[in-house]
Amino acid sequence: MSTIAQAQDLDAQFRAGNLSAGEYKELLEDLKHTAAVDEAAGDLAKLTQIHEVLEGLKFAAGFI
Amino acid sequence: MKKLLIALAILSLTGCATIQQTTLYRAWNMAKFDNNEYSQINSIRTVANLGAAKCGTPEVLPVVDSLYYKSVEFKNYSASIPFNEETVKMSGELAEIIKGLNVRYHDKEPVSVSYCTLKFGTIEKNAVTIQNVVGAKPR
Repeated sequence: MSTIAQAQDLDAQFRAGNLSAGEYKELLEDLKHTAAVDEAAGDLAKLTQIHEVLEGLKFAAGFI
Repeated sequence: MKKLLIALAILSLTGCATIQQTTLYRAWNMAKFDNNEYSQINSIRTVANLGAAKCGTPEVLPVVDSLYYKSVEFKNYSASIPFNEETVKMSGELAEIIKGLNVRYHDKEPVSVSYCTLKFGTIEKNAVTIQNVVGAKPR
């Protein structure tokens, strides 16, 4: 589910009275935290891939 | 000869527009897989997974306390590992999410079941994301 869809779902729950105003606001903030986690996870995955390439080069250089 | 080959390979990589020297440096020195770090995020994920069923009952409070303790422990542990910026960032964001839950459950205002269920879902989702990349760190 996209961030916009999640925000819309929260909005619907708030309007239906399932969430208080404070809870609704906090859950919207959590979407920002989640986006930040996703971004950092993407960065870490990229670094891991580059590290594996560098390790491969180091290993290949060992045969020369 | 080996050093020359590695240097040439790195220099050729830096030619790529999307890869910068700092990224290469950070990738080369990045924090390796850590059993304790992995165990901590797995624990957070598991507690969130099982704790969601307790929403709306008094038994949820010790689960919330446990989650908060574990999230701060994970944040502090990851922060002391060099070249671990991404995990520090992720653990900090997760701790903020869990802090909100902890604060609300120690407040006088009642907590709705919908909020509790959504919150545990968010915590578990983020914990899975973090666990996947932390578990894939180089050995």
